[in-house]
Amino acid sequence: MTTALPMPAENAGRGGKIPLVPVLLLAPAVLLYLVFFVWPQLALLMLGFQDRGGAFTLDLYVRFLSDSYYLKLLWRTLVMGVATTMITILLGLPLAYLLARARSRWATLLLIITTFPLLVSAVVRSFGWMVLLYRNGFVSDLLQWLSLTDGPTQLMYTLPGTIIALAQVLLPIMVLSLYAVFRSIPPDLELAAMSLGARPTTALWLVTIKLAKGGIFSGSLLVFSMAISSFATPSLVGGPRAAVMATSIYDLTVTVLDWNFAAVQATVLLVAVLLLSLIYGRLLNGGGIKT
Amino acid sequence: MEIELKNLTKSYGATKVVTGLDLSLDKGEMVALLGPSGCGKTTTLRMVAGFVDVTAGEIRLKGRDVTHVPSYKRDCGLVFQNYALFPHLSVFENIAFGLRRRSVRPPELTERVTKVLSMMQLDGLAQRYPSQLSGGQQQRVAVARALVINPAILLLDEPFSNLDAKLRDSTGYELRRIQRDLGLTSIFVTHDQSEAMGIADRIAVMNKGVIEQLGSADEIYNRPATRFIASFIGKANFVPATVISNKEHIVELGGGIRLQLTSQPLPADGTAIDVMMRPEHLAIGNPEDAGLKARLEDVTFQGSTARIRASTETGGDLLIEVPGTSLPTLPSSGSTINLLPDPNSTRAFTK
Amino acid sequence: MTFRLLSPLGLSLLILASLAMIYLLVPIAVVVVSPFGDTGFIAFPPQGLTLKWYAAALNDGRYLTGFLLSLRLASIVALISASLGMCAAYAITRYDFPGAKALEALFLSPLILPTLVMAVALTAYFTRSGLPTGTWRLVAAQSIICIPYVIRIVLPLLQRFDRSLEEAALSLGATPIRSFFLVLVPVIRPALIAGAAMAFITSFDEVVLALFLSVPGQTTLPVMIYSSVQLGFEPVVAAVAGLLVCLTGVVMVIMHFFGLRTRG
Repeated sequence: MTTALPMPAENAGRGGKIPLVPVLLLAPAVLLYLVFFVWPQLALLMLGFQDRGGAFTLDLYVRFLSDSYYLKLLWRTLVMGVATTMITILLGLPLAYLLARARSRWATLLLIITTFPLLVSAVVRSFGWMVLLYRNGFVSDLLQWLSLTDGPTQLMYTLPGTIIALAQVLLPIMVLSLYAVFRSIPPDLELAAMSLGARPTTALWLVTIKLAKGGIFSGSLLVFSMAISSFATPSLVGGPRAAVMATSIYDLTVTVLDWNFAAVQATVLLVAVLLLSLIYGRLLNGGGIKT
Repeated sequence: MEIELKNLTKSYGATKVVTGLDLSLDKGEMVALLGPSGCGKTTTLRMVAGFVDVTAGEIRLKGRDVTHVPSYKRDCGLVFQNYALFPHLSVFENIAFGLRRRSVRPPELTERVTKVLSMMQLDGLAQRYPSQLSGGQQQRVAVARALVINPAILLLDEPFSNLDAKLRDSTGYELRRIQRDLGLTSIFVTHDQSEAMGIADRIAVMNKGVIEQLGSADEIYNRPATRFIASFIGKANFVPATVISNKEHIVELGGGIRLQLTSQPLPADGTAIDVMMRPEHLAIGNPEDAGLKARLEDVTFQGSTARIRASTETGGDLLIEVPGTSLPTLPSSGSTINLLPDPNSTRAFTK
Repeated sequence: MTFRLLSPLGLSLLILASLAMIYLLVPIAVVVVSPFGDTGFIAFPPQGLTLKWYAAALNDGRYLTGFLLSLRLASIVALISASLGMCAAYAITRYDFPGAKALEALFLSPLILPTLVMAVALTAYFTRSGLPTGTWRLVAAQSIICIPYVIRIVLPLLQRFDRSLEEAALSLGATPIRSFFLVLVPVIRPALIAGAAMAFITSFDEVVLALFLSVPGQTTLPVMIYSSVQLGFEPVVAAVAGLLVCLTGVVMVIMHFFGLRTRG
């Protein structure tokens, strides 16, 4: 990539000098990105199409898409992403709505408390879940106390356990994006609907939720792509028994040292996330609702 | 009585926003709630609409006690200050919203929407979205949406504040005509006195949560009940005076000028009071007349009127308004003028 | 609220929101509370009451080393991200050159790209490139994921910045460099500090890159916790995690006190 002769916006090339300043300002960041971001990323894409000797091959992709183990991995990753997103919507909608509409000064405090988990490392939060989800742990006791189960439940090292933990890790993200959406919808619209005879539930559904639809969808895309690519929680709570693509990529890279196959799975994940973010960007720029 | 507000009170904790407000409207009457921001006028309107819980008192619509009836069962047509049009619905669907909640189905629904569209001169705009409309059109859609449900009462919250000055007059006139034709009882909130005076049958001037005066525009302007109203509505000069005889209604202004104020009872003899005079009720008399002596400071020509700023010997500033046509005959700046108040249009207020 | 909270709708929303709040906070509370338990293993709710695990955590030299390493790396990453991000954002907004938009997109792209994918790419790249090992690899990698935060916060501010202020300074006789420091820097300083704070926290908490690019003997605190909890629930590890949560809380309060907003 060449930064074709940057020019100052005004006084272009004062006295015929080469505009050195912008080049100097951009050079460190551009170099850092080229050497440690763009180049390694391109190399990774290539790796997936090479055998160990470096010759071009599609075998690795064929292997990924035909081996039932890896398809199961892909399936589990998708289930994890969808379920996580659904939980965050279910819990995020009421929380974000109340936070956005509350007028007391407690609302600010509650919003800060909601975002606090984001500042705590995912490792620490996942650890909290490990303690809660263990066989004979708190959640198991709770389920028995509620008479939902007869005996102790093992949620650790299972996909449901991973989903429960991951949804908590990503819930603040959903709440924050929905909060912004609800704040942009004037409460007067709900009042107008009610003055025209709509019950509060109807007003919420016909006005607020309909208007927030785009925001809910884009928040879901964000949470989904973060869910399928997050590593710490599936690795700690799910472990090898509930392996997903992220944990498989780690094993291939660090333990098995099969970078080529790791590259294949990483690329699949990357393409999925890029596609979703493309849709997300479209939503933000175009399809949004004009108010 | 179409609407009765009895002892209506709203407080948030220890702060009273509206205190013991009483107001009744006859059928087809339009009352303006006028006052500075924070006077409780919008809170009152929102209590009538059912958006704000009443702390004490009673609201009756057409004889029905609706004090604790939720807003969606109240049948109030409401026009919001920012119109609150649903941005995701077309003009047609915005107007049909209330009808659909009342299970009105086509063809009646289409018929009623079309009728109100043409009444509000919105023909041809049914399929547009609110963002594609001008401010004036949006306002008309908001009114149409409130009217189509045949509300028991029409409430308007600063309905003209978002329109430019030119549109304000014509829209106000138009709204007044439709309200009269339909015989709709209506309350509207405004901070703009000329709006209130131009449209409403009666004006309730509010200050600090209470109605200070309720009356026609003429009553409020010419016979203000309180000093606040005298200064809030129109321009007013306050000249210090002393009561000479409350039996004969005689007060003495500084400089020995005596006035007979027949219009209102006065406090006990010897009380110091302020006499309020509107700028247009001060005439410039001949120098030999017994009047208020003042020094002419400057003159601003306003077209139909000319405004004179003058200072009295006691140091007070006076504002005088004379017809614009008398501009050539006015004395020059710095000269002493002799001001003759119209005793029938002055009001006395205790200090 | 546009409807009563004590109505059926209000109550059901309130109950769901409260559940969400409990759900958000319980696992964090668990980490802080369970090390108080007087058992040799971690349990929730804790049994007994002791401070020995927290004391042990504070006295354990390994965790202190990890903590100091994380602190040092996060500081370096924050410094690099803030300065490189600021320079890049300034160049993008101040100079009109072809490809400015593309550069901006490049700088922001790590926000979308999964860190995991970057970690794999860098592991393969570093191992094959023969570059010297060391924690600098992690610093470079984390800087790339932190620079976007700085740019995202600073860029809109620079775009909105009234250039006539700088021109006024120039017309009053300040040199371009002086006017930069006297006029522009004070205006964007809060944003720059917020960006640096974000970079610091992101780097400090970050575990994926730290795990993939870890150097033997130089493990960051999150990686230490990650490795330990995989092996079992040692109360000392829980106490370390608990301390980390409390520290984060203190940092957040301080940041809020200074009016800094992070994320979102």
